[in-house]
Amino acid sequence: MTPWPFIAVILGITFIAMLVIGLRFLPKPVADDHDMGPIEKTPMTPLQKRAWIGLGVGLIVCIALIYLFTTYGIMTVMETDRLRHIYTGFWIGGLLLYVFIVVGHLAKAEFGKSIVDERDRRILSRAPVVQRIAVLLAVVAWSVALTESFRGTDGIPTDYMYVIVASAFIVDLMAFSVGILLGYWWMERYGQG
Amino acid sequence: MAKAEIRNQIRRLRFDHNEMTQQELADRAGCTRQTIILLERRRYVPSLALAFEIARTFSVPIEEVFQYDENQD
Repeated sequence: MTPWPFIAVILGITFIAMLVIGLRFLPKPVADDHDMGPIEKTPMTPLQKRAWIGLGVGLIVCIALIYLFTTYGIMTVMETDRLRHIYTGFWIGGLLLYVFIVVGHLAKAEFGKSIVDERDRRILSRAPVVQRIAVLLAVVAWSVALTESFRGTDGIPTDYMYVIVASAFIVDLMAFSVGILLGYWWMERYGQG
Repeated sequence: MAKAEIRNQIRRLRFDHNEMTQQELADRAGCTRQTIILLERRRYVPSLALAFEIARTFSVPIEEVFQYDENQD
């Protein structure tokens, strides 16, 4: 049996649980002063835009890799040179593009060539919380899925190690973008927490 | 339990200073326009450094820009 059904179930249950808990404990949005007149929507910061682009890059890589694995199977992809090179190109290329877009912007700010102000830094300091949760979740999902799907066989093929590491990198970077965007959304709606 | 609130007069001070735009204030204070917007909407409390920069931009004491209220719940 392939590990995908187990991964889908674990992620589905976790997502629903987080949604229920989040909706149950969300605070009331902060009301604006009525004497401020009509409130325009806050435009995006440069970091926010790059977080969206980075998330888009991560999603495209995810969709491409899921398509590759579901069409050919993980073992076929790993054992076929052409497919393995496509797989490697996708996830390393996506990684480098993400680093260039998001991390590059942060690096430029250190040299005064882009703006990352104190509010951006405060949001950035909290984004790793989302990263940690996402990577832990990915590791748990893989552990359970592989253990259950290869139970009673000779063992888990070593090619899965490569897939687990690649998926951890992709999840880590996408979660970084999600953490940044969540931080901006939260501050806009609920104020500084 | 007492709940502290920090209010500010940034919007009024901007208009009093030749209708300074949010972007102009952001450029002078060294932050993004979005931070100024959230400050005016009281969604964000600045650091001391930013608070002093904003007060210096308006050439007024910091207490004239930011006020600290302690309300009882």
